Amino acid sequence: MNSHNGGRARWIGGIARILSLVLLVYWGLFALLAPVTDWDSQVYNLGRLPIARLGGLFHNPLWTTPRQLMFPWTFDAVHLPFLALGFGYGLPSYCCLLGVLAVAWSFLSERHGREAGWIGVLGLLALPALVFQAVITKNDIPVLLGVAVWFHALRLWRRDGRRVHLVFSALAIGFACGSKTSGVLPAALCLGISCRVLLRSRAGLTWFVTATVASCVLLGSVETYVASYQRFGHPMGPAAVVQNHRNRDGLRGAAANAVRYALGNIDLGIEAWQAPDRVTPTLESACRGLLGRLGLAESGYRSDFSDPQLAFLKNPGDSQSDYGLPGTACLAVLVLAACRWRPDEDWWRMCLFGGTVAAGICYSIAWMPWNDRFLLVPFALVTLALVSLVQRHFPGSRWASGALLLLFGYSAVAGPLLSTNFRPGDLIASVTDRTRKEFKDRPPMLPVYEAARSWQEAHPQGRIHLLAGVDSWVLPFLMLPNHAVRPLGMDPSRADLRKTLSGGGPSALLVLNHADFDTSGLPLAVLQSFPGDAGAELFEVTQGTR
Amino acid sequence: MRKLSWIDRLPYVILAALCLVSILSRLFLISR
Repeated sequence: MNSHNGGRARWIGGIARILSLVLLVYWGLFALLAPVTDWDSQVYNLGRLPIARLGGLFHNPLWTTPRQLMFPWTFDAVHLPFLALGFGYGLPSYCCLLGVLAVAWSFLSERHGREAGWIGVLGLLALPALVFQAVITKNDIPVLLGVAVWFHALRLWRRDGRRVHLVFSALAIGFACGSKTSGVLPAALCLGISCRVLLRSRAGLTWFVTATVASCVLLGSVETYVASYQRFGHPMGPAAVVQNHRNRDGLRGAAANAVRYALGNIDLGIEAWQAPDRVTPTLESACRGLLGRLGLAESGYRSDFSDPQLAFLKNPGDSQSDYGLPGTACLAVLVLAACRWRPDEDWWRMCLFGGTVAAGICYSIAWMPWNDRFLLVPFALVTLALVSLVQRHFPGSRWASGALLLLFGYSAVAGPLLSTNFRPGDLIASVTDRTRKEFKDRPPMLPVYEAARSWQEAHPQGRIHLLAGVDSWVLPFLMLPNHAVRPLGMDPSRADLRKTLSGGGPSALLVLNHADFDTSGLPLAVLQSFPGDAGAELFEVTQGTR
Repeated sequence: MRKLSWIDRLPYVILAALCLVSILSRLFLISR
């Protein structure tokens, strides 16, 4: 009977393996071919790299938004060679995904067999928010890689005692810290657990602590904190911005955020098939009602959001997805873990780690509709906990493994097909209609870009001065050939502006997100205006051409 | 002492490569 069931489980594992490999090829092509599409990357994650190339990091007057300076950049900087190449922007994130999958496969295979390993891999590929992050340029997935490699290294150290594993676990902690501000929390948790595990081995602890200090100095993005302090008087950015993004309501805000994340991640897997979606508005309404009944109304938000504006984003764009149907299953596993004390079982420990990270995020970060990607570590861990739980309590059961295959297989295939940016047509468009694909999330910027490019082609030796408001998509302009575009910083004085514009040679001024820009007294003639969302204008500098 | 399989080495290789590129890129940018 066992061997019969084992045979069935192997058959199920085979399907999971084939499906996983096909999906890995699909997502790998996206990572290789897709242009930069993510809003944040256009504004600051990658937008800051060409600016740093022009003026360095410290005392650089060219930044166009505080966010280019205030956030850690260890992972963002990895994209610099790819910006030079002009393709493969998603490869660093995709490599993070491969690393995470390798850790998951290795762990589950060792504990429950190869079939469980492949089901775990498929489970991670079934989380839309995870796979979308794995092919774009945002800096959430490197935090997950850091936690995964830390866990992997500590597990291997316990197995064979080699110090090289401790060095890698320290490296992973530094990398997670420096990739994203919210990565500091899981990194601190990893550090605490490591120290507790290593207490019995004094030599091991010394190695680990020394390597962690070195790793945090090298990879913790210390320099952006210093540069931010120099510029704004606060290591994490302008005090008002930092304050605005924090949960200012303490435990009440944390509890409210936990309710929002829990209800916001209930996904029946059918929402995207419906037009209009009737499930999500019902959940939003239920969430508002529940928050009111619990006395948590209006708590935990960033200052520009409130209960009436509460929106659960189920439109699977670059950074706006939830975790699909498996995410709902994860919520059930977390409830189960909360009801049962099982500290000796893997699945329960994973839930405890994931739940602690999620609680820290609820407590520290104000709620915004697109925050779900901050929960990458908890949801990935609890998905693996689900596989571990099923394999432990139903070993070799074809029904249990089959149910997981069905759950993960559906979500893994439906995820890209129902997305707005990752359908097979989007992959083709990445090659055949690359510029339009790049601006798909902000179409009004496309004519602005085309106008700037036309001007640059007509004046190959000319310069475009860029005056960009804080939410401007600066990256495409900064990537025009010959370093033609030069930013003017956040708030240049009129005198500086006049002086800059009076330089010799043909030049233009591109103004982004400055609808009320005053041209009086400046040597400018309007070339093209782009009202509306773009809020842009392209001017010819009249003095410079004489 | 068990020899590491390629799948066990892969996360290390990826992390090391990302860290190396990050350090070099940041040094380049800071020095501009």
